Amino acid sequence: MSGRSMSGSEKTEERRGFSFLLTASPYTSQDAVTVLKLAQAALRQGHPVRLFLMDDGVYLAAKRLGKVQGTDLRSQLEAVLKAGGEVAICDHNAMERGLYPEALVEGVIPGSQYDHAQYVAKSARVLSFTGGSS
Amino acid sequence: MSDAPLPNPKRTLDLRGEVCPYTFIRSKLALEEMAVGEVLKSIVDFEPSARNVPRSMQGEGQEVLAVKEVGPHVWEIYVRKRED
Repeated sequence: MSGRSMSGSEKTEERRGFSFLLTASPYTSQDAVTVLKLAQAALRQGHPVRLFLMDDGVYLAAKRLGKVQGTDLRSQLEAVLKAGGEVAICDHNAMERGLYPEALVEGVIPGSQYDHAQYVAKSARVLSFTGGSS
Repeated sequence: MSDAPLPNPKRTLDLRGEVCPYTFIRSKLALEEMAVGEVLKSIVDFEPSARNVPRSMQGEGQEVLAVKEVGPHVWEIYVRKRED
């Protein structure tokens, strides 16, 4: 066991629900659609859901994102947020791609790896979607 | 955060040139060496850090006294240690 002290939330909260890490662009991979469908299914079952977007995955949080290959990703992301899902992005990666906080879907947190770490610490399961083909 | 005069920091970290997550990590490590009640001033020039270092510090149970933009793309973040 490491000597690192735990934050208050780690001390008292049981690990529950799912965290999703998405690093793949919604324009070039099916991963974003898969994550949104899994997230919505988990929320319908009453599981807490947390989604962290980094690298090209941050494009999923862009207001300007509409339909991609026939799927309205923005509406699906908003549905996740409305159902109580938490969504944070790597603000650093977003700014590198010209996505400032005002360009993000309402409710998305312009966060950091700290948020990612918190999501992992709170969740029973963590699923990573990185756009790889193998 | 209030408009009250800011206390003199016990320690100042110049993090200009650093980006996330190092700005938070180095601030957190500095706070770990300080006593409860002491104030740390972190200077950053990376805009996401000016947003995220204070958020993360609050998440750790620390008190953010102020975030001041003191120049073009330069911010000072004042944090009082509240938790060990």
